[in-house]
Amino acid sequence: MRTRRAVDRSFSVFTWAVLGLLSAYISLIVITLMAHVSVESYGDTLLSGQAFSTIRLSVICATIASVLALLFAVPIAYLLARKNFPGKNLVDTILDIPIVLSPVALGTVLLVVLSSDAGKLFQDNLVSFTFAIPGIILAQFTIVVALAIRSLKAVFEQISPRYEEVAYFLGCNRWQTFLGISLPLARTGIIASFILAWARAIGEFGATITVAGAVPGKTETIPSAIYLGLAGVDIQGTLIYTLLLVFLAIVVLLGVRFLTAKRSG
Amino acid sequence: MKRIMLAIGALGAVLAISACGGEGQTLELFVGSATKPATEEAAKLFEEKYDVNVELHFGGSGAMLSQMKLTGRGDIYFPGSSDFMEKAKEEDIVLPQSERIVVYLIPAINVQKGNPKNVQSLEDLARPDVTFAIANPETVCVGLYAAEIIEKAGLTQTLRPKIATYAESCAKTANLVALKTVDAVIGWRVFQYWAPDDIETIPLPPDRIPRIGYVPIAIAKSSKQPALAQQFVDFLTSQEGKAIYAKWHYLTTEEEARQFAPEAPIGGEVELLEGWR
Repeated sequence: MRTRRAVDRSFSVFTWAVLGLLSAYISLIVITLMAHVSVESYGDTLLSGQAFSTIRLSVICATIASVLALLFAVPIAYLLARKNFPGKNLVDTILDIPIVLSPVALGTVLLVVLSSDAGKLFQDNLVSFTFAIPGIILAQFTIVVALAIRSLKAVFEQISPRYEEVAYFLGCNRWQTFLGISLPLARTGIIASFILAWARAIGEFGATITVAGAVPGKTETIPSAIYLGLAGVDIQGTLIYTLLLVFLAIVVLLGVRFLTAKRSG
Repeated sequence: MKRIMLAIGALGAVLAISACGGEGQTLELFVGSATKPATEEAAKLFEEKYDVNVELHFGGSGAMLSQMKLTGRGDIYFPGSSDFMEKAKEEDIVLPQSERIVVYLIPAINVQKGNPKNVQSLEDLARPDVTFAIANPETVCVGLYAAEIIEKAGLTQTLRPKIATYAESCAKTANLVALKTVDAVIGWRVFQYWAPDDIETIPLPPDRIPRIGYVPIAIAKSSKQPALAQQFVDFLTSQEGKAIYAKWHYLTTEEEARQFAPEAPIGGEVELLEGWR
């Protein structure tokens, strides 16, 4: 018995130790980052209107891109989790392509498509993406929608179809079953998927800068400000924007977790 | 659901407001990000003076050229150094006759602030306790110049095996020192003013500077408003425009550059010798 307890304790020590080690490592990075930035540079950067518009643009675009991604991902993931159809594997693989491509490659492909005759026609008459704000959203959406589908598909697969069958036989139509049974059951998974998509979108750089460019005050997001800071050998500016991204992510992700825990608890 | 739709609507409204720019003529520039602070200041002055919008796209000079090529957009190409302008001419993206020199660049040794390893000359780079790097001599002009400097100083055999890495742009060369990745680089004199808290320049004696670099500007072939683009180029190369770059410690006249290297030619073809590739 005693040995069993000792083994159990060693397991507990092991998991705590691993958690402690990794948390300490990441905290060390953030603390070093904070210590490296001089107090004056915080003021210089954060008080400039430029920083405000960059943060606002980043938050707005990441949020719209993630919401759009979920609007597509929820029905697609549901369908893929519930139905079998000829060519399903092929469709599934096609949807995965944006995950496989490196962001810069994806951005380049988007730019090529948008610069084709059809792309130009579309942009001239409907929405202009190249070097414009919708381009940021398009790039981020393309990157995160596949991630959202992937994570939501796993969520729907774990929900037993029996609940839906029961609701259906009790007289609910397909819409009612989906909205009244499947969606509420998948709620936590959908929120987790949104967090994943948002976090990926706000940090997205390669595809965004390729499609939308980085015009300060117009299409410059936090990651492109970080890149431009480094490209302009402005180490302080680079680190401040990095810290900003860290804190923004902490606030939003912690906020979402807090809100959802409160509601489901 | 209603609340979510409201939130999306509000976001859309904010976005629409932030997307609204001023009306009128817009000049689109693709700029190598190394000159970002000075170029932003110059563009702002030009906007006020001539009542036009100047849209500055910043990034690596090569990435900027790729975007111009892919999208067929842009009025002006303003890379960080001459090598990319040569490429732009080869790729038929700029009007070669419109090319002008905005500032001159002097090769030098750059070390970490305070010069902790006490590097004073090219010979010091050979010391075992000193690590150093150069830019890629095949793709970046400051790297090509560094290779030429080492060759002309007769230090190829001692220095070449010691090069820690090839940086892929001017800015990344400067960052190697600013982030303390290496003790020294052979870069431009102006690096010191890009990051005065992190970088210090150790000048090379004039007889060790085989060539003077420069930052060129040219009008894009695709420009639909070449007259306005020409006006911007004229402004940048006028006394007024040059004064802004001088404020950021760039050398804006040939005479100033000549003080550092009286005999050296400005730019020109350099052949990369075997062994550097």
